[in-house]
Amino acid sequence: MNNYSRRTILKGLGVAMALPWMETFAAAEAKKAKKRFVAIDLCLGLHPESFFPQGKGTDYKLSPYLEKLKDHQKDFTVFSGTSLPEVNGGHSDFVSFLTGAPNPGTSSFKNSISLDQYAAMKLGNETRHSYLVMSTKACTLYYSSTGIAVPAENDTSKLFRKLFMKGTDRELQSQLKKLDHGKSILDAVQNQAKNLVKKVSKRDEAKLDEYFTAVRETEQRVKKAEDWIYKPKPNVSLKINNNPKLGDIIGCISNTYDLMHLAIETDQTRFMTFYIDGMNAVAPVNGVNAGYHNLSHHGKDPDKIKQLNVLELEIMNQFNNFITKLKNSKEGNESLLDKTMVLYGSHLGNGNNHSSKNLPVLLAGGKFNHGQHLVFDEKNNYPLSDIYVSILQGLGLNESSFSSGTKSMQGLQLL
Amino acid sequence: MNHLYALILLSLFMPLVGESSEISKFIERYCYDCHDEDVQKGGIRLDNLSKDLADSSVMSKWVKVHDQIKSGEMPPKKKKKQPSAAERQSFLKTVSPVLYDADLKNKEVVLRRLNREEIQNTVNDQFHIKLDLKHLLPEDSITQGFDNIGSGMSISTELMQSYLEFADRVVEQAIVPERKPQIINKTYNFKDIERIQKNKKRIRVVEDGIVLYHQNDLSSSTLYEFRASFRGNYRIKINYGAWENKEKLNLKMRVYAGNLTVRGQMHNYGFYDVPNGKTSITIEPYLRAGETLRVVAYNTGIGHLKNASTETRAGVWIGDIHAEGPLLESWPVKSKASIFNGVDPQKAGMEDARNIISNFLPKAFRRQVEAGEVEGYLKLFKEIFEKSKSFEEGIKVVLKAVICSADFIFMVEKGNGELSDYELASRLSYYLWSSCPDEVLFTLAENGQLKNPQVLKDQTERMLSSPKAERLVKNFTGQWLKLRQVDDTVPDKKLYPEYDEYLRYSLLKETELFFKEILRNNLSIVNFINSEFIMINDRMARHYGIAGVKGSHFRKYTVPEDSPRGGIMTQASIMKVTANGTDTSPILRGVWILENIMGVHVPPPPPAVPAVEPDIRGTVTIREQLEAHKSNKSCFGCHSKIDPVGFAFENMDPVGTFRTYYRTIGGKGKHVKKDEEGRKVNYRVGPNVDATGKLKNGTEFNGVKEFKEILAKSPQNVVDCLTEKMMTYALGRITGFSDRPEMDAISHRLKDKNYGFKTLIHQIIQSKIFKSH
Repeated sequence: MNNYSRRTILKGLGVAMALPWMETFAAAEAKKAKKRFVAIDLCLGLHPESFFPQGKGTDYKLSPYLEKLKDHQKDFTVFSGTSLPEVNGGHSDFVSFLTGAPNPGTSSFKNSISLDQYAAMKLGNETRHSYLVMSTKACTLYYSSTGIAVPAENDTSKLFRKLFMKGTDRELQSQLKKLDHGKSILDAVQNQAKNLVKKVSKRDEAKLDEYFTAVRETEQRVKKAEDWIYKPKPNVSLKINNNPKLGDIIGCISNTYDLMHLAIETDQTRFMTFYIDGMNAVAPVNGVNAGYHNLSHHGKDPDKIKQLNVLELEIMNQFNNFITKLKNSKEGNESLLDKTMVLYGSHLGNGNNHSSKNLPVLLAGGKFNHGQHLVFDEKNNYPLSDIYVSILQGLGLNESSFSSGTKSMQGLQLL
Repeated sequence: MNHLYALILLSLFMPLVGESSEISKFIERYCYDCHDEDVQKGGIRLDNLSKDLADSSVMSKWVKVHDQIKSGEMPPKKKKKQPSAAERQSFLKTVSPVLYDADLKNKEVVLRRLNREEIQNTVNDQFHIKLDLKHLLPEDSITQGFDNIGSGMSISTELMQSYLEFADRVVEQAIVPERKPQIINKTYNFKDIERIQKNKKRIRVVEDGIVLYHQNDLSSSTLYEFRASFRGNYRIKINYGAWENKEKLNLKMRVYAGNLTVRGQMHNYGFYDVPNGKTSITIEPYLRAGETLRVVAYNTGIGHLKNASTETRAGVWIGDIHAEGPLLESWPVKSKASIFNGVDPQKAGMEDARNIISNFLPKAFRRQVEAGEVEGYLKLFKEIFEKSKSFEEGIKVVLKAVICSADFIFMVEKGNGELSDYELASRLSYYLWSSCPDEVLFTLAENGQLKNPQVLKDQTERMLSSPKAERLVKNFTGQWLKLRQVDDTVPDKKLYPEYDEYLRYSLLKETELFFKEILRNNLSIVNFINSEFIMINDRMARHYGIAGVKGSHFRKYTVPEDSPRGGIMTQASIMKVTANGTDTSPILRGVWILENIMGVHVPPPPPAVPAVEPDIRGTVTIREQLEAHKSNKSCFGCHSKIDPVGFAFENMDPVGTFRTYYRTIGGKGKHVKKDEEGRKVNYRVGPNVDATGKLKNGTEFNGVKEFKEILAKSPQNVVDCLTEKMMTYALGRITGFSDRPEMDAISHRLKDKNYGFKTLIHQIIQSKIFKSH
């Protein structure tokens, strides 16, 4: 067989290509409801013995970690015995936390669209920013429809300026010029690429198609940015001017939660993800003198577990502050917590051995039948991806599946 | 899937696997015992295996069946019913051409985009700049271990947006304003700086300079007074020397150069030996506007001090620092001059714009361009020019558009069959340089000479000896050997206090230099398994327990008789990236060695099995924890391959130190407490290490040295493995069944050529696979 014949055959046959991503009807009702979704993933897990509570249903006893959230027990549901089907790659699983894509960390892995982006695509046009992606490092939970990671923002003061600071007239002018040039550039490259289509094979055409889609969508985003440029940014009383010191994970988390709360309160965006990286540093918390990542690999050493608990309790405390702020903020006659679903937990079931089973996860806010501990089989885990469906439905979207999730989460009902 | 296409493939295969075909009978007779609907051993079922080879998962199952029969691994030896040699041969002979054809038709997408590393190098080389802006682009996804694989790389809206931002930054920096930057030519001395004078606790001010004592203070001695005024190389002369080094410590000075305010970026420029008396070094780092310098003492053994002026221990004296630069070759800078080519933007018109664009496009697109393409960009120029009345603005926007264009972003390879000269030039340069072809390659392509085997060979030699080949070393070793992941874990400070910045710097350098040494001298690939030499400096020598190596420079050194070192597998870098910081896992290391060195694919563990929980309390060893693998049949299949290989490396701790016992935090072992050059050592002696093992073929070994010797005796599968990795990286696509004959031929030809590593690269470049679509 001649090595050179492959293309000829392809050309002749016209290999099928994936249909462009299907646009569905805009859920006008859902947009009106102004529901939000926030996902928070802790890269190093949460010590399972301290996270999972005893008992089940509404009559369960808070664990040491959940004790930090005791004021909100009626506002969240904690799950045990769940994991993502066929997601079994240890640390690298974070890429699948919101996508549910199988086999991360293997050579043939290909990611798919993440839950927050799917929601932002459907409902994100209402706000200045369709979504925000944040991290304590440059990792990201957010994956676009073609499975490409978006770099997360880890500079909270920069993000604060982007969201709330007004630019000078000169800055606005130069921004406008840049957007205007951007439109011309996108227009030109689109025309140029059309010439290319005529010359490449059918299969390559499919790749070029991705390019055209990206260019067209970028054009829309540039237009949207132009529309928003003269609209005033909201006034907020809190200022985030400084970034915490290198390695100060608690400072980073606290700053980010402040910013996330402001963004929700002023409706700058409705979809956010926050990836909490271990930062390979010693956290400035009393009673902790070893690196976070190291503590998570405690090797059952009692001293390390003790330190890990101290640190994770503080991390839970920060989360409680965030939830409390949401609950205390009102929009109309509802609390922001009722309008915001917060998925909190980790893609790691156990940091010590990188297990991907029995994930520590809870869902707060968003008007579900909260206040319960849903217990599933520890050996044969329940598919956590069903929670994606519950969340989409919570946003008011009429969806019956997402990724490996095929129904809403068993035992979790919208009120 | 297109039905016609699927049908054609199916029709190719049908006659062979129809109900009564030889193939079906063979599989039924020898495989169904374990792999039918009822048993499904290892989760594999063959009684319902589809024949639709256009489906990649079906294809890979058939390839697996082929490989298992070929290697003789299946049916298992203990089964009585075994095919005769002739039956095996006949099975393989029938199946393999079908798989070959199917793979050929099914193969990878070829239109691949450049990854962010390549995009950055390409703009830097095209504009004659050295910007570091790749962080503006999202990380590329990894397929089969590499980030340049076309099928894995998509384009998204986010990516497009970041291209716009990236292009904007690149062009704004390349086409700089008219004003010539201030040239710095100045002498600085820390003693004159108030902030330093006030820092009495840590820094001693003396008559002609300062003395630094603290070995981990990464903030006090930054020379903020010096800031680069413009991007370029700066000539920096630092006067320094040892201060009262009575104990003859192995003092070092470390120098940082770059943006020292960005979080998490070290910009370590180098470690320098500090002799007694006064000396100086001159370095020429590349700095961007605003960037600066820092000097820090190292190996003083001082991590804490109260009053530097009364300090009696040894320190590092820093005297005058002279900075000169930017060392501009010309003005306007080359990045601008090469674009405008003598045209004065104030007086220029459409014809000049046309010339500029026609000059730049072929470089950017790595080929000749058509008149229509120039017109397209000229139209954009006109639009902007008319709006802004600025010629320069118009050109800048055009350049930005070029960087965002499909012709730039994609490695466009048109047609079928043999690559064109330009396409070959690009494939070659992205392989060896991770960047676009230079003028020499471009001219050879233009004249149609590049396909001449001798010319191609000479070019390969020329390119490999260019400094740009450093990118091949970095990108290939960074991914094949996981070196990019070196900072993913930080070793526990209590257990492994010896892991400091100098060691981190040195262990990466060791592996890169080792790789380069083999490449440059065309040494045998067997050296990767085991070698008589290593590349070390004083720090690596100390780490490896080798006496008498002085100075921070690296040198080729003969491995002592009794040392386990030699080859890559025992290098500290590899042992570090295959461990997790606290402990080592023979499973992870075993799998890594099998997949990346020995070329044996290991399937992932079944989902229900929990991973072993690390335990450093000192009561149980990992070997004891893994005993269960032997008694459980479903584990034993794979773990009888994995565990022994992993056990061979048990003598290597998570930072690559040779160990005979495990270090533990708890337990009852002897306490090891000492102060090692300013770092407190505090751990216990745990259980003894047992590094014995027995390979699947029955060969026994004790420790990694013996294991390496066994492997080096029959290196063919290691050579095959490296050939496949190199080929994948060179092509930017996954290799398939139809690539095998030529890859096999290459790796077997190497045997007669002393397994020369550079020969491998030549063979790949001269291969038909490399030269065709």
